[in-house]
Amino acid sequence: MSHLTAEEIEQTLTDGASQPEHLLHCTQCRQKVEQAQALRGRLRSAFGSIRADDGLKQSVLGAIRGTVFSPNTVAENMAAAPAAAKPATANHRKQPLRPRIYSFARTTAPRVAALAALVAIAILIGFQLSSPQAAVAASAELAGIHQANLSSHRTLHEAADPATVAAFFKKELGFTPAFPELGAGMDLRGCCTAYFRNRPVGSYVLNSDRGVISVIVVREKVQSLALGSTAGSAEGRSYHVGSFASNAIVAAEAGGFTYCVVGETDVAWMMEVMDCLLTNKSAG
Amino acid sequence: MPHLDSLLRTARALTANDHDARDLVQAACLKALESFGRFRPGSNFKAWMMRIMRNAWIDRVRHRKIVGTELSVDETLLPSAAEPSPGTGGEAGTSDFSTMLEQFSDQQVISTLMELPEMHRMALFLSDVEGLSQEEVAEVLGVAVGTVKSRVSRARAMLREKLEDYAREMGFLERRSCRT
Repeated sequence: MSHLTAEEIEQTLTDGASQPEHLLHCTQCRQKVEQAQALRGRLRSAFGSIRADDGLKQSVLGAIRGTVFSPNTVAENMAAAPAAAKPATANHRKQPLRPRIYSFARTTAPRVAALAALVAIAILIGFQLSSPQAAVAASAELAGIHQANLSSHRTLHEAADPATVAAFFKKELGFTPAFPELGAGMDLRGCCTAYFRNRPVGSYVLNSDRGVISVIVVREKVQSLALGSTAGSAEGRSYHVGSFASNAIVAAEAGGFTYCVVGETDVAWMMEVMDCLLTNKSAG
Repeated sequence: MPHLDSLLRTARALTANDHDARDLVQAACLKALESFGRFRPGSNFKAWMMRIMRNAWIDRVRHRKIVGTELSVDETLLPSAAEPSPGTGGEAGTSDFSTMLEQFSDQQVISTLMELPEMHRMALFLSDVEGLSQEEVAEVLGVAVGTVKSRVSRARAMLREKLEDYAREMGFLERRSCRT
């Protein structure tokens, strides 16, 4: 009597109800199937103990907020799924809808509806979280803004002239953050507004020989970001340092705002960039 | 949050430690949001997320310049799943085997799974733990369905053999019950 092949046993496990007749007569093959089922059950129960805790939920929520609740993507995604988007749009009444949004909605509505569902879930989680816990999500939200800045969906205001950029931010935000000193391997890719903790913030996106970084300027106190640790720069400044996914974050207060540098590069260099920004020197 | 538990479990299966796993979940969520336009309506969202996670993990491994052996192992060099290794041909009774499995803690089972090569481990994990179909596992891992079948079968045999070895070492299982 020839036994079931490994592939046939796999098929038996997959099919579930339909068992080959051979199993009725062959103890050895039946044992193989039963042992495989027992192993599957034990694996499931072992991994069943691994569950996402509130900390992870908050950090993912922060990433979703930072990425999705940004001026461009929120308008695009919410326009396609108004029912799911309704709670979020209350916080973003002034977002302009560009013409291409409507074709986006028609062609990819099912995809975006799923995304909107994800956002709605994120909002529900957000309601469940108390404000002290929300501080933990700051690094995730900042990293989300940076990732959104890198995406092709983000429309950047590309003027490199400081006066034009200042006027842009004044109009969009009501304030003008310090302009990064360019040159020496650093140039401005563009700037834009984003949302951090549901409030509009300014964001510079810079090309450098170490990769693209975002300088995000928020109104919150740096302590409220709860980034985790502090570090001193060569200039003697004390910076708050955090990370999210593969993004490093360096933050410091200046002029009533908190400047956050976010990028997938090393913290020491980002502190140098921050020193340059805050002292108006050329970046290295 | 839908699938977050699954994503964390999958990240644990990929990275083998909690810190890297949480980091990978965060990175995968960001990448998923970035590339949401490429999600195919009607396809399995969970499988799509897992594929993104696996790609993020590969990127990270490459970035660290410690490319895993799973990319270089030739499956044809491995013993065929259809030809069980000596002593693993299912000689132990099912009830003995089930009893043996219950002797292990959850962590011991997970740690033993982590000893398998990634290509086998992930095929078995996605199929048996996450309940993805063979087609979905194939899509997540970027291989053919037939390859998934052989990997799952081989992984199951390897895991069973390792668990039986540990059971014998720890006195859960008499030698004669398995190695007849």
